[in-house]
Amino acid sequence: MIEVRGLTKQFGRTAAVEDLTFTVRPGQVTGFLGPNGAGKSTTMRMILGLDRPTAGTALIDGKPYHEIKNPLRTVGALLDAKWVHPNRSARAHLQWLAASNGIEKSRVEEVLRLVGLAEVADRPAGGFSLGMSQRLGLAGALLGDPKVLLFDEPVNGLDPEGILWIRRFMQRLAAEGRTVLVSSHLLSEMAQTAEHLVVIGRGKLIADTTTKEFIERASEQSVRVRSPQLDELRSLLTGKNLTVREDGASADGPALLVAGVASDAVGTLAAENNITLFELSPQRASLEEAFMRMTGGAVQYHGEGAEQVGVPGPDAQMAAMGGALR
Amino acid sequence: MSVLAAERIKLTSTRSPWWCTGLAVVFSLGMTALFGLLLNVTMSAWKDDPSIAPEPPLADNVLAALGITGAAFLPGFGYILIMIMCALAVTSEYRFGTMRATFLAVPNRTAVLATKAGMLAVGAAVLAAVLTFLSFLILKAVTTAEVGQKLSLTEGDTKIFYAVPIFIALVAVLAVGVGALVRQSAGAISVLIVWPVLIEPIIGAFGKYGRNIQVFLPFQNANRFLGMEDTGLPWHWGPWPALLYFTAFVAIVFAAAVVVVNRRDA
Repeated sequence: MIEVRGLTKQFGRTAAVEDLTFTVRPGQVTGFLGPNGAGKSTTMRMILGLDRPTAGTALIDGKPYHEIKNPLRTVGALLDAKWVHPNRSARAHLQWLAASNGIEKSRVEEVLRLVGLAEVADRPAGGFSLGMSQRLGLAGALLGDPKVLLFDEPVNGLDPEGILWIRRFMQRLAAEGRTVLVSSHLLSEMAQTAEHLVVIGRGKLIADTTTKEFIERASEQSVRVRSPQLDELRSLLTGKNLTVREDGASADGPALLVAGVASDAVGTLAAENNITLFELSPQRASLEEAFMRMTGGAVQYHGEGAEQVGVPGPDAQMAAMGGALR
Repeated sequence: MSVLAAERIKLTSTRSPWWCTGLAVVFSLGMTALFGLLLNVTMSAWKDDPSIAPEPPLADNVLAALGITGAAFLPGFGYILIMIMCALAVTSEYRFGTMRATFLAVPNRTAVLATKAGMLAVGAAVLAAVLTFLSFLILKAVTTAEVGQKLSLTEGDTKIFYAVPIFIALVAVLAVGVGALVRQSAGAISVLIVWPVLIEPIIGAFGKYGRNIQVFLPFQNANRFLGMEDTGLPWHWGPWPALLYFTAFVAIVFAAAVVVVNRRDA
């Protein structure tokens, strides 16, 4: 279990993390979600005692990280797969890690087999591909058979096969009753990996809920309607205080998008007023749109010039973030 | 003990410490051999014309340290290469991020630095002891019986055989401290070379005032302990207080490194 209470990190005058409070429970994968620069890595580094918090505490099974004896046996972390000396062999890298926490040498061979690096274990880690480096990092995290695991963007830059492998691996670790915290800037990725989400934007907590709930809450429900009596319908709907907008991207004639209402209500209203409907279809906003909306004000590095050069700013970011879902 | 085991594996599983050690061995022994041969030549020149030097150029035990510690007229290759190795043991960890991996495995940063420094100091001291003794044997072998008449383990001054390892252990700790403070290889190595080889001697060039300052400089004090000092300096204390002075300097730098490393984000 990881307990974060009022965690704050100030870099000069800017707050990277602000009064963050959440709990990561065992037995499930918890996604730590937020746009780049939201403070995910800083938070993880504070949990692991690498960075000193300006305020607040982070406890792992009730103790601050630096008080845990032989911490690799309790906590496994993969923050950066490149934290390896390029001229040192994968085996030697794991051997010094094992030695530092009194972990028996045979465990090194075990984790090498587990992540599929046994055959290249004597090669210098500097020559490893990104996927192999991630596997080596994972081997290091698993060395002490820890109850708590933290992964920072573990699938970044991996090919689909690598992504799937890591995802299954994390789910299996959680199923074994371990506490697993995985950070990502991709909601689509987290939707498939995590059961629970801690969402942050600009260092502040935005949501701490189940993935299902977050997606339901996030997804704006709207109804698309086409009708020959569109104007009449529009005034009826606005009369009910509903938000209506033209669906500009329509190829089959003019249509309306009605926000925050179920299709049943719109259909009933049309029937009561004898309005013919050609189309009545519930719409769901894409996950990325929802995510963007929720963290939108919380993205630290806005591309402010985007509008002037004719690129739709938020949409461009959305496309970048949602790429994996489509 | 587990921290020591980890540090030992780290030190021996990359090539650069072996390169530095190899270079230190080759340079210090090679320098000694060359200097021994030079003495032979000087001796025959002195015999032809005794006016070139007030005394005959004889080798004594102190010369066994020449390749490691250097002397007033020559920078010491051995100790500089050992300082480079020790500084790299820290700075390369910062460069490749393994320092963070180390602090994850051992959150007690003081223990990490102390173990690293202690291990390197002992290793370097053993290396220095072996090199000093080998240098002595080489001098004995290359010099003529006449030039080498004062080289003796029983009759000559044997202080050099333990003074060099003590000095080397201290510079190893100093290099770890500087490496941890600076964190960059180039910066740390520059400081460690430029300070003793350039800055301290240059201060002596500022006449009487410079020499008054020089007796308070750390490496001049280390040289006084080793018996390599510039005797023209207005010394206020003898060789053993000079060692104490140098040790205090090293301790202050190392303590500063420990404080800074504990305080800053890894």
